[in-house]
Amino acid sequence: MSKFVFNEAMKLRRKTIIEMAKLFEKDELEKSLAKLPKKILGDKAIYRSSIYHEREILKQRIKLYLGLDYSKSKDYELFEISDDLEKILDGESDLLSDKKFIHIIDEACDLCPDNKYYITDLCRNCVAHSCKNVCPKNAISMENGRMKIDDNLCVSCGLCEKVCHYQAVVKLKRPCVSSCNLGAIKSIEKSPVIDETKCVSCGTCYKNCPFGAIETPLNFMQVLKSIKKKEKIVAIIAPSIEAQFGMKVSIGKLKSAIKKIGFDDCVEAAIGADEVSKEEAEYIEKIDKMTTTSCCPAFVECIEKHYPEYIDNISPALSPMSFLAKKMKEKEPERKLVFIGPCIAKKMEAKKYKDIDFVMSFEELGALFIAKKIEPSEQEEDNIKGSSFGWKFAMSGGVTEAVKNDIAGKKDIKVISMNGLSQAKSVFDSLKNEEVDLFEGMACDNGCIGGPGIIIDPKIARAKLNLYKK
Amino acid sequence: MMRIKICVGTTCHLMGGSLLADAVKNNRLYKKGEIKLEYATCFGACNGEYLSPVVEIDNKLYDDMNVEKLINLMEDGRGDIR
Repeated sequence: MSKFVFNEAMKLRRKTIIEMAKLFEKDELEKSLAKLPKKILGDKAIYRSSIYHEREILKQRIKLYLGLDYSKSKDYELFEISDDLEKILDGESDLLSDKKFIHIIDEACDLCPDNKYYITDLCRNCVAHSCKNVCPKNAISMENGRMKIDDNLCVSCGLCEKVCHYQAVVKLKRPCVSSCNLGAIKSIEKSPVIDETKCVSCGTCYKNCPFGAIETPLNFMQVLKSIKKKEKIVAIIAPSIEAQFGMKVSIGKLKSAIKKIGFDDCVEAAIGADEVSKEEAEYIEKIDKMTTTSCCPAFVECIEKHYPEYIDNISPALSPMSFLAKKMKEKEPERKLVFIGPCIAKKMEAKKYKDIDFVMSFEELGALFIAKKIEPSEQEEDNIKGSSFGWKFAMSGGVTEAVKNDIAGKKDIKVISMNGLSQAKSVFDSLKNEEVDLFEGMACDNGCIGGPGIIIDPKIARAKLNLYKK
Repeated sequence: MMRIKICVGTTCHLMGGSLLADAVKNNRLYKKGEIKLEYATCFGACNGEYLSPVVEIDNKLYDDMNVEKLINLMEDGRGDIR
């Protein structure tokens, strides 16, 4: 199980969005936007060698947090953006991000060395000098009692790494490139580039970039604006919200707190999940071929882009989010719908089906609580409507459990599951020799509770979800 | 006996406070019963000079807390580490 690590890049993001939400609530965002980087970072560089570089990066981040597209907005100064703030928050600006959900901020990217070999001080300057002798390009020579690789001659064949008995040769990799399980980030040129034909917007690179250079456009400011305009707006909460705001905050209290922000209603996606698992169970009962789950948009995108031979196997059921949203929009089309979850790929799904207006992360929800001065732990308990099966959609194994429960006594089903895209290759390979009825696919390790927008360690969320009674 | 009160208010929670309770619970002194762990909703401190997350140890407030600082404080009571 991967461990959740809280880091400085996350801290800076949270600090910034909290500040933006607070300023908006005080009606001061427009006039203070241009000064925000200085206000947050102060005058002393902490993260980079120069404070001006830090402020420039934060400036680019702020534009993404306003929901803008990096490449469209990168040449704009914040004072220009604040002139257009009204339009941006009303969703009417051309600079808004509409197709891409993962952006690499060039200013923040440190251009980590990629696919290069380096000899560390584990080199014992041995007698054999196998590294030097095996090198086909004569790129290795002695320098200050240690072997050194000449980058201009090295062709990254890796033979030196294989022959060294001291593990003194290491291969340097870019974290974004090496963390992407689908080979969607290229670094042929200097800065990394996302290959849109391969990217499924899972957010793994966003989680793994140690420089915080990969960001996703946010929606919380548009949501705040909509609330301020007193529009009818409803929140749909992902089941993975369980435990995200600490042990003292139950789902019932969270629902009350969310309504207090100004949402007309707070609906559990778990209700949709209950319907979806029933629909899937009925479909699997009738059909003779394998069915894959459809609740994880990054998994669906992964099939479409990488394993198109299985497109016909994707469950016809909508995801719990889209299922609920469709029903709600049919009933009251003028209501705006906000999905609150840990997921970047849901932004892609929202654009595809057009029923969800905004997608927010748990961090963004936290910023809204803080700006509105609402403590979720102090709210009254609201009713919970979804079943324990619906709520457990949040973790790997949960969808299987729900479908098995709905199909019990009707059909014995054989299940295969992919817990994270890192297993994609091995699981899809094993499909060739295995007959299965249901394929549960989760792009994130642990399922949604391990998503890119979480606050709490997945192991805590899993423990809390496991307490749900059957 | 050391009394540690961790703020579980939303601001502190978001700024890394969510990791502090685990750090206390995993500490050897806590396991030996030498540390008492309590929770507070908000000390009302982080709007001014204090930076979240805030922790109160034996009636004294410590701000901008992280796991490393908290472990140091538990182990040798070193207070002024800023």
